[in-house]
Order: sequence, then C-alpha cells, then structure tokens
Amino acid sequence: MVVAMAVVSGVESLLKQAVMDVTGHILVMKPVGFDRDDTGMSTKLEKFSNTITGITPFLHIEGLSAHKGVVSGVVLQGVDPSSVGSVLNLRNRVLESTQNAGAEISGFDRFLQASQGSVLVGKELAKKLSLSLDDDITLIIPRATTVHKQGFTRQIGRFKVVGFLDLGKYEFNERYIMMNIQDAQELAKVGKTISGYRLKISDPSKAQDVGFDINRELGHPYWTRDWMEVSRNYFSAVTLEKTVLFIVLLFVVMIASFNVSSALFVHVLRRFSDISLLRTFGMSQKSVARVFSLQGLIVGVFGVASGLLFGLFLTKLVEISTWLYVPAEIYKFDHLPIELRWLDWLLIISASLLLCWVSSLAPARRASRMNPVEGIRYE
Amino acid sequence: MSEETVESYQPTLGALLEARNVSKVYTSTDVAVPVLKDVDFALQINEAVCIMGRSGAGKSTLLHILGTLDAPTEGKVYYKEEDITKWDDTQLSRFRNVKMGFVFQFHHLLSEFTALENVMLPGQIAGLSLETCESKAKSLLSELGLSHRLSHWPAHLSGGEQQRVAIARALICEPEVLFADEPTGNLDSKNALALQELLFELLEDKGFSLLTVTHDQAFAKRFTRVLTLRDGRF
Repeated sequence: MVVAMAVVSGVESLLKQAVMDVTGHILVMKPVGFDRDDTGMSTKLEKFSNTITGITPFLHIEGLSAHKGVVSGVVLQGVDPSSVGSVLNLRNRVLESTQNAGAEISGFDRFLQASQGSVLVGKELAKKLSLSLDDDITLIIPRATTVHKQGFTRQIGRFKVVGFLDLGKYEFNERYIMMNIQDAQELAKVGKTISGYRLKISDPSKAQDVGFDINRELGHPYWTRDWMEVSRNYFSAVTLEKTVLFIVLLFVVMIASFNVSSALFVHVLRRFSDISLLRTFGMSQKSVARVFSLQGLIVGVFGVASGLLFGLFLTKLVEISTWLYVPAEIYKFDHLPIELRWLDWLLIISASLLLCWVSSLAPARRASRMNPVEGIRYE
Repeated sequence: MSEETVESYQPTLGALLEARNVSKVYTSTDVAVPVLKDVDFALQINEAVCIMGRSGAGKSTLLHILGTLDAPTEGKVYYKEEDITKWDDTQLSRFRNVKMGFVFQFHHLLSEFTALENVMLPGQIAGLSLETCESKAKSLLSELGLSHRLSHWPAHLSGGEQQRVAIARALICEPEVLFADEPTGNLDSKNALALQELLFELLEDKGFSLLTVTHDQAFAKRFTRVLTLRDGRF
C-alpha cells in the first residue's frame, strides 16, 4: 500500500510540476489572440500585483518539423527570453549543456543569450528526428489563404537546436519546440499578435480562485485557464485511480486482518483457563475485552510498523532501480516517480490500525463472554 | 415458586453470605438437569463450613453461585442482607476481587508468571499500587513458608508449594470469604494434611469465613459445621 500510494502520489506531483513548469499557473487569452501592447489588460492586472509574481507573453502555433527526411507534427511555443524565466521553470528541464570558452553553459542560457534563431526541442521529438545539438531544424507553418487553390500557404524557417527539453510529460516531450516569440511571430507572419500571457502566482494551489478573479476583472473577451484546468482530465483520473487503489488495497489489508482475528480467537481458546482465573479474581468482562482488543491493536501497531518499514524499503528500491522499465509513450513518464506524503502515511496507518482493532473485537467479545466456571473446572 | 413469594424473602440477619431457595438447572440439548433444588444456606462471619457430598451432588455449583461465578436459575444470594443477584458484571467482579478469595483443586497458577507475580495479580486487578502488591505478596508468601520461592516459576514448585501460592493469591486482597473447592484433592496425604493445618491457622489468624467443598472425611471433621448435599438438597 505504501509503495502503491507513493507511486501514485509521485505521478500526481510529477504531472503537477510538469504542467506548472511548462504552462505557468494561469493563462490569460483572447479567442482571436491579442496585441502584445495591450495596456488595458496590464492596467487591470495591476490590481493583482500582490498575487502575481511573474508574467510572460506566449505564442502557440501548430506546425511541422523536418530533419533528415523525417517529418513530425509539433507545437511551437514562442516565449519571451527576457521574462520567461520569471514564470516557467525551464532551467532544470533543459538537458544538455555545452562548453563555451572553457565555461559550462546550459542549453537554457544559450537559448536566452541567442537573441533569435535558436530553439529548444522536446527530447522525444529530438529522438524521433535524430537531432543533435547545433543541428538545424526546419519548421513549417501552414497559413490559410484564399489566393492559392490548395487553400493554404506555408511558411518555412530553419533554426539551430541549442538544447533538449525534458518537460516531464511524454506528450509535451514529443511535440514541444520552444523558440523566441519574435521568431515565432515572424515565422507565422502574425505581426505582434500573441496567444496570451502566462502568469505565475504566489500560491499555485489558489490558481483557480485567482483565475476567476482575474477573469471577472478583465471581462469579455478575455478568458483564463488555470494549470489544473489545462490537464483536468488527467488529474481527475489520477485522483480516481488513487482512491480506487486505496480501497482495493484496503480490502487486501482487511483480508490480512482476518488473520489477526483468527489468531486472537485461537489465543482466546488457548487462554480459556487463564481468562477464567482472571475473571474469578475480579477482572470484569469489559476489562477482559479491553485486554484482547488492546492485544489486537498491539499486533496491528507491530504489523503496520513493519509494513511501513518494508514499504519504505521497497519505495527506495523502486526509486533507485533502473531496471523498472516504464513505456513512456503509454504512461507519459519514463520512470516510476516516488513521493512519500504524510497524509498518505496517516491514512494508511489509521486505516490499517482501525481494521486491526475492529478485527480484534469479535475474539475480545468471545473472551469476555466465556463462562469462568468452565475454565476452572479442569487443569 | 411464584415471583411474588421469591420477592417476599427476607435475608437472615447477621449472615455474611446467604443462599435462599437457590435452584440451578443446566439445560443441554433440550434436557434439563436440575443440580440444586431450593437450597437454603447461610455463612456467618468467621465461620468455617464444609460441604460434602457425592460427585455431581451440586457442591461446586453451590460454591460457584455463592462466589458469584455463576448465577442461580432461581432464588437469591445475599451478601450482608443485600441481594447480589441483581448486580451487574462490573459490580460482581469488583465484589469478587475485594471480598472473596478462591482456591481450587488445581492450583491454576499462570505459568508465565513467577510465584510472586501470581500472588500480586488480584491486587493489581484491585488497582493497588505495584509496591503495595509486591510488599503484601512477599509478606504472605513468607508467612506461608515460601520466601525462598518468590521468583520461581509454577512449574518449578512442588504440588504443595503451588497450592500454598494459590492460597496466598486468594488472600492478598484480604477477603471476607475464602472458597476452597477440594483444595487438598490433588495433593498427597502429607501435603494435604499440611495444607489443612495451614488453612485453619490462617482462618484463626486472618479472621475470614471459610467455605470448603471436600470428599476428605478427616478434613471435614475439623470444621465446626459440615453439610452434606444429596441430589441437590441439604
């Protein structure tokens, strides 16, 4: 139960972190996109200056990438190098670093320093396109038009790959390319239009409430999405899985607690003579019942303690193991994440102890109802 | 016997423990076996009474009913004129713990506890402090000539010693009544005689009342009152 809950909690945290790192806490958008110099919105957002700790514009474009004869659909994320670091946590998600004049420089810094023409590519996409650092990648953006008879025209650009991204979710890693927002605007021929703003707030758990407040303040046609909403189905599924897993494993603990019950029943029968003697010398039925339910609880405490220690050992084993293969294309992550949460532990401990105690009640009652006369009749 | 008649009983004045019209019927697979039939019995303060009778006559059953270990099918049991058949388990348990002591044919010592710990047990149930229990238990065991056996396990004691530890255990809470159910039944004649001597010495010394069930005629002759049960009746 400890391992299962730790893995599910780990998955949940991994997802939350990935979503927050890559999308920010709140997105402010307009259905048709908006001009970067939207002073009206900036003025209204000033009201939230205590809550908002960072703001950065973004441009979201879907297109194609090509390298060495392989083509793949991509999501281009145009970001502003000057402000992206204040909202998104990408520094630790850029894998490779390179040597420059004797000093080690990370791919993220290279990306920030290069004014234009460089991109960061999701690691799964890079694998698919056989990309190496400093390779040139071709990006193709389709644009709807009525001039051509195909109904669209294409914009093509070539960019240098300065780093690879591990964004924590397989679907991010296989599609995302990050580039300077100006490059993205030029490539897509959208002028100064942006898709919206990404906001970082002081307490991400309040993103939904803050998002509502911002939405109310900005009014139509602006709309907001918080980080939970971005992957709501995913988070709901994980929460549901966690609940179901807990209930199923609780049934396993319940079956195990029958052993406590049967062991106590045997113990009660073996101790019939001793119980009778204690009753003879003045121990009440309630006290006898208390002794055996306490015994059940003590067995539970030892069982739970050893179970927790063994579970802890297993979680560490899972955490450090490299042989546990997780297909990333199915599970959206490539290793089993582990997170031990106090709340999970509290839940596991209290539920297990409760079951042990409940399973001791029947034998305890049996012990208290035994006729002492029968127990002292024979040796 | 109608309920009205039973309710009209009046306990005997001055009796420590009294059974009035006590009947006990054991029912097993629809067959009712009457063991005691309208038994009247009163035990006075500091009195030693012996109950004799053939096996199955109901001696032990009467002792268990008077010792509140079993409930009568009909009739009442009074302690100092108070009807104790109405008491609940908690009251009866407390009563047994403080006012009564039991010695059985088999010593029934807890094998995981030493002689001293076995004697301390009823005191601990009574809520006496560990120090008090230990001091009283040591004093009793010394009185019974077992000061050198305090830390011995029951298995390492002789039959006579085991029974003396059982007597010490029965007396630690200074009971008003000591019930002895064939206390010498499992001992050889030498140890049986020694135990009889000991019981009467303690009776004189401690001033409790003694109700004994035995088959031993010689032992019975030492009692001031001997009653014989035949087919559930005196």
